[in-house]
Amino acid sequence: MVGIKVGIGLATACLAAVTACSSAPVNGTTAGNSHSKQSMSVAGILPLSGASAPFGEENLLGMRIGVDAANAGVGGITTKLNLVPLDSQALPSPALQGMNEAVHVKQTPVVLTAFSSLTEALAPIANQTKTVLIQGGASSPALAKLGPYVFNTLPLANEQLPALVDYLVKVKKLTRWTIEYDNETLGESLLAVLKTLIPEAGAKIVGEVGTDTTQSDFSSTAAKIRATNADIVFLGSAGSAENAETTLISQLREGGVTAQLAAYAGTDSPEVVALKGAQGMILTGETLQSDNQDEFTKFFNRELAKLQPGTAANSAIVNYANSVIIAAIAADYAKSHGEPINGQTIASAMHAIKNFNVIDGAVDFQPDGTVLTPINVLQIVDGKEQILKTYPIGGGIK
Amino acid sequence: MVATQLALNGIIVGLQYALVAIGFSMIYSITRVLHIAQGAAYVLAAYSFYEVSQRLGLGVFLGIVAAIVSVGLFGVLMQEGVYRAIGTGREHNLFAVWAASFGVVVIVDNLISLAFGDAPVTTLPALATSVSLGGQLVVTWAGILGVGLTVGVVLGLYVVLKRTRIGVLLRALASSEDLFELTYGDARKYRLLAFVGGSVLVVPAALVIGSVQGVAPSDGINVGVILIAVTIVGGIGNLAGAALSGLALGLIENLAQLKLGIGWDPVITYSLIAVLMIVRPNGLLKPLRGE
Repeated sequence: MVGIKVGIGLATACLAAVTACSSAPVNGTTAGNSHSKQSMSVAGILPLSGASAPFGEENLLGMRIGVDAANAGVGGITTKLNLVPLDSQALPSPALQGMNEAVHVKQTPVVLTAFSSLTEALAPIANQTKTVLIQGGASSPALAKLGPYVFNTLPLANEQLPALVDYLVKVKKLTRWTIEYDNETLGESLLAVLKTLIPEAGAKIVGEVGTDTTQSDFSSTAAKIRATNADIVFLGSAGSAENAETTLISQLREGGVTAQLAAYAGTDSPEVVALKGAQGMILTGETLQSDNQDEFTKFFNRELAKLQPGTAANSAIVNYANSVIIAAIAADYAKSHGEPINGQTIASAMHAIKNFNVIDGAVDFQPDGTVLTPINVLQIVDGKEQILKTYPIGGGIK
Repeated sequence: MVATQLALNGIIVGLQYALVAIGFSMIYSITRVLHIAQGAAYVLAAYSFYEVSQRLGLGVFLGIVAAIVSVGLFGVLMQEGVYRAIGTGREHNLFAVWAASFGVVVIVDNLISLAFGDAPVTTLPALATSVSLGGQLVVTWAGILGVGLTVGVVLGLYVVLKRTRIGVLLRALASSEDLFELTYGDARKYRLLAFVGGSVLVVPAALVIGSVQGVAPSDGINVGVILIAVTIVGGIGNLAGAALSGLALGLIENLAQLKLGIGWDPVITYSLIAVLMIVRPNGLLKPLRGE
């Protein structure tokens, strides 16, 4: 009985503490300390456990570098940042719990996340609570319509794919397309975009083969794709599980699919590049310019080598570092205009600044929160990516 | 040609399901324990093999030994440390046993995830290469090996259970633990033997399936679902039933893709299971009993 009373007492105390926290203003800066105008928390709701954890770890590494850059005052940033990692497990429910914790408990004005479906799930809360939501690893075109507080630092598929289709149809003369796609937000969006672009380019879709994000046996997928007699197979999987793409590609090749393979930037990973079956595959990529001599890129290269020696820069790391740096620059902008640091002022600053010169070059935000960059068409050759052609912003087909 | 390839894939996948389920079915038939933790044994076997053969570079043979030893010990720990503690005798609490077994799957999956990360590991990559069967029909070496192993395991187990002294005793235990103890004394070591033997039977499945699809820590629960489906359809505890139902489920899943898109195969599969349970509540074949 005594134990029960102690338990009730503790529970009451915890409830009181939670209530006290909940009553604090939403989206404020780090509350109640002398740094209230100088520091800001940035949450990363990322898959830190489960099958997608390797992606989340790369995103978190990028965020760490971004936070370190801001706290070191790189580029003249004055706002100090606190990193708040939260585990989404790449699932909507834990992601929503994380978002509530970030917004209502940790009071972070900026949240970074990954995956199209999760970004869609979190967007209503972001807009409702005026919290800036930035994602740098998803490509669904649907992400352009999620409201004024949602930003993307990775070009969406509808920006990437015109370049890819243009190159494959007009340069490589590949006209019979089969689309493999995951039956979720991104996969279906990719399919929808390609259904418009491929006929526009003068080619045709001869097969659509759906796959499940949890699938690991692709032998039947290979049989169905092979039966379409396509001369190019586009892989539209989300790659939500690490190695899902390598498993798919290997099984397609062993299942007798000999056609040219193509994919969007999300497929780009060191494992895919090194995979035997992926040699010759053509895909899109951001123009990462790791040899830039600007302050941010130099700091990024130094920090990456220090935190994870031997790791090559990729968009999963760079975009998340840039997202954090952009938020810090926007916070500085708000401060310089005499405004408090919160989600509303940071979002306004991001829309006002538009063009950010950060790691690997410029990030240009559009009014809908999407970003435009030149698109590379790459080919995997001998375990390395070679640039076949660089399309300028808005380039391809038309 | 697509239909033929899908049917072939279905046979291979189905026999792999059977290979996964045979050990589980054997354990249930002898001990009456719904050993869902067999899913964890599957993951443990794959990762033990991977650690020894690939990360430590000690070769395939020692990798197989490591897999057998680890899942054998796992079987001992489950029986002696979990099921015996709960009480899996004549009137054991089925739900408590099931919940404990499921809990162990979650614990093992997460421990392996902490130790190895969440990315799947490939057990024997060389088996993932394919061979043409003429025309456009292709099959991986893992698929061929899986067929052979399933047939071999079923026949081997049949011979052991029917023709050996141990087999007779295990079947007697399966028939009635009360009678067994009256006749032969304490059943404990035979229950233990059933757990060790049943657990070890998952090793071929883990190595063969893991060579093409890879094995991830989270697969323990997925395999648990397959175990339940295959075993219920086949007739709980019936080894031949497990093989037959695995084959049937694999074929249905693959052939359903001929006309239906992704996502429909589980709907078809589990609808058929529901119908089967209405028509034949005991499964395709009668549950195994001793003689």
